[in-house]
Amino acid sequence: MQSAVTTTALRREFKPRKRGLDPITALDDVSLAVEPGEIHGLLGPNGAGKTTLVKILSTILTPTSGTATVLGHDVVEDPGAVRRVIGLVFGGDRGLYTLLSARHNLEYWAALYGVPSRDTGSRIDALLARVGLTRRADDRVETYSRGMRQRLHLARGLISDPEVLFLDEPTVGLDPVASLEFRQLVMTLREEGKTIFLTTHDMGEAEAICDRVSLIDRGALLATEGPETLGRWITAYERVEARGVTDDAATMVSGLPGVMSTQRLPDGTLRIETAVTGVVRPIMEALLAAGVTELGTRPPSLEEVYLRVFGDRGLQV
Amino acid sequence: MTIRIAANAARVGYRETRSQYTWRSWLFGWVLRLVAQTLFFAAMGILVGSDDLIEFALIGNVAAGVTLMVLGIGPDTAWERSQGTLPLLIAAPRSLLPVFAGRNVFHLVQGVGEGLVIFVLVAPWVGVEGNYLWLPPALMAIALGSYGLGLFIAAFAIRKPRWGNTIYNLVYWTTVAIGGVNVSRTVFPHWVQQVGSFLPLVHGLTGLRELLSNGFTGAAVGQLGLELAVGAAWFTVALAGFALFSQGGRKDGTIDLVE
Ligand SMILES: Nc1ncnc2c1ncn2[C@@H]1O[C@H](COP(=O)(O)OP(=O)(O)OP(=O)(O)O)[C@@H](O)[C@H]1O
Ligand SMILES: [Mg+2]
Repeated sequence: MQSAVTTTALRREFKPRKRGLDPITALDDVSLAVEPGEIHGLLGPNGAGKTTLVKILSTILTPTSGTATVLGHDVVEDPGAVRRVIGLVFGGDRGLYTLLSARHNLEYWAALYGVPSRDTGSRIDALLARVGLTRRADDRVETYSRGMRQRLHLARGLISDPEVLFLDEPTVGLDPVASLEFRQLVMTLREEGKTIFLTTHDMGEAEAICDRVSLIDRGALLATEGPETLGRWITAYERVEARGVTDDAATMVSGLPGVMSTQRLPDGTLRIETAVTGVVRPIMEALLAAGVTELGTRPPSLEEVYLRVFGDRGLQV
Repeated sequence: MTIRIAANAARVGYRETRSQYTWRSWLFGWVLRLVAQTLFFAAMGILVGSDDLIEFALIGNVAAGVTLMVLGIGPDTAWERSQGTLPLLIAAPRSLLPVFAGRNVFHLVQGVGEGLVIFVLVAPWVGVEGNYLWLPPALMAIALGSYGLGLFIAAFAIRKPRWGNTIYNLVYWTTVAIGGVNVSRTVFPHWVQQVGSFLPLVHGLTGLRELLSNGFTGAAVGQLGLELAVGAAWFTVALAGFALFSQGGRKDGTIDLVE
């Protein structure tokens, strides 16, 4: 079966900001394949090259070298064909006509995507209902909350009923509830058979909704994994954080088996990083026994997981 | 479909214009600026005591005001950038020309309206009278003639975002200088006049002056026709420009820059 999206040895350089400096390499030899009907995550920290890759795939940017295709259409040779089959959703506030209502924004893009006039009204109604904006459909977007704007962005990306949808950090800046709602919307799209390529710097998000996740750092692809692997990493490198821990208790904890390091955060919280799974519980019991009552677990940061799993290769500088 | 795109874009342009101006800020800011410019040049005629020169400068600056407003759509892509919609427009399967053409339709009406307001305000001051019924249609021809070049500048601003305003000013002042606004075109060397005949305003203004002095003559119609032809030619160049410059912007990664 033909892949929905492919990239082969994709590279993108940007001109340096000052003359004499080396060019910035945003993507370096990236080869990946997104299969039809999957939610494929692109996970990476700030500056990893996620947006750059989405821009190349959505024909906003051309690669310096290498090739990329969407449903078999080359993004450089035939951008017109690519544009007809994709939808594009950026995360953030920008990209909407804030002086228009949601409905008028969608009518505008329906015209630009050549949606037939007779279908436009019903399609817009259905999309507005789907993203929960029916009641506010005729209010100006400038009066919308961040979460409402993001849902409108999604509706906009879906206006042409595209087969492939690119979502660039769509939940950035949303509160946990709004993020969860947004993710649920994205999952309903998979059920309709759409192929989704989603970028994120949130491991939890990637694990929760993606079928496969490509890990990227400083322009280089590190690996492509299933969500179970991510889940394993998240628990394996889980941290314990506790407040009100005396120095004696901290010394005691750092001697426990499986503890990799302990660290005092500026606010006095003790952060305990573990090296193996299954040690979180004994650590917490020891802390409770020492009279500590404010404690809990936190998922590891993406940078930390990269460092642990990929060593120096994944180290963010 | 193209019409539908333009109509939807016109709605965006209308809302944007409405949010930029109130009646008062428009009248006291923008219109007064143009009135002052017109008065300044008409005053030169008063200074040398020539009624012909007063009328020449008045009509010239009223028409140039229309071109100023219409060419102003050039740096408009800057607004799409600030909204973050330009990359989305590039990623959509249609040409940008109907979008920008539709978005700025309102500026045609606004430009002609302003020309008329300025005329009505300034003419009595400088003692110009007569039958000026030809003014509105001739100004509309000039607005249409200027539209294509304005759109081309808009296309150019996709490629060189920081140069949009500079090019706009350069083009406008060149047009005013050699277009027969304050001094007759015939004072310039032949080649300058040749260059001028590819610019908007030039033919339309010649036609307008002809209409006002000799009425509805073949020469007048011919000049207004040429004005529209110049507009259509630049419109075609703008169409190519949008394709070419978006391609260039994709290469150097400037499509989504905010400036
Ligand atoms: N137009 C540009 N000109 C110069 N450098 C750029 C440009 N766009 C991106 N870069 C650089 O390319 C690298 C990758 O940027 P990119 O925006 O793709 O990262 P990202 O993974 O999306 O990061 P974030 O999580 O912050 O959105 C960065 O070093 C960035 O500074
Ligand atoms: Mg990004």
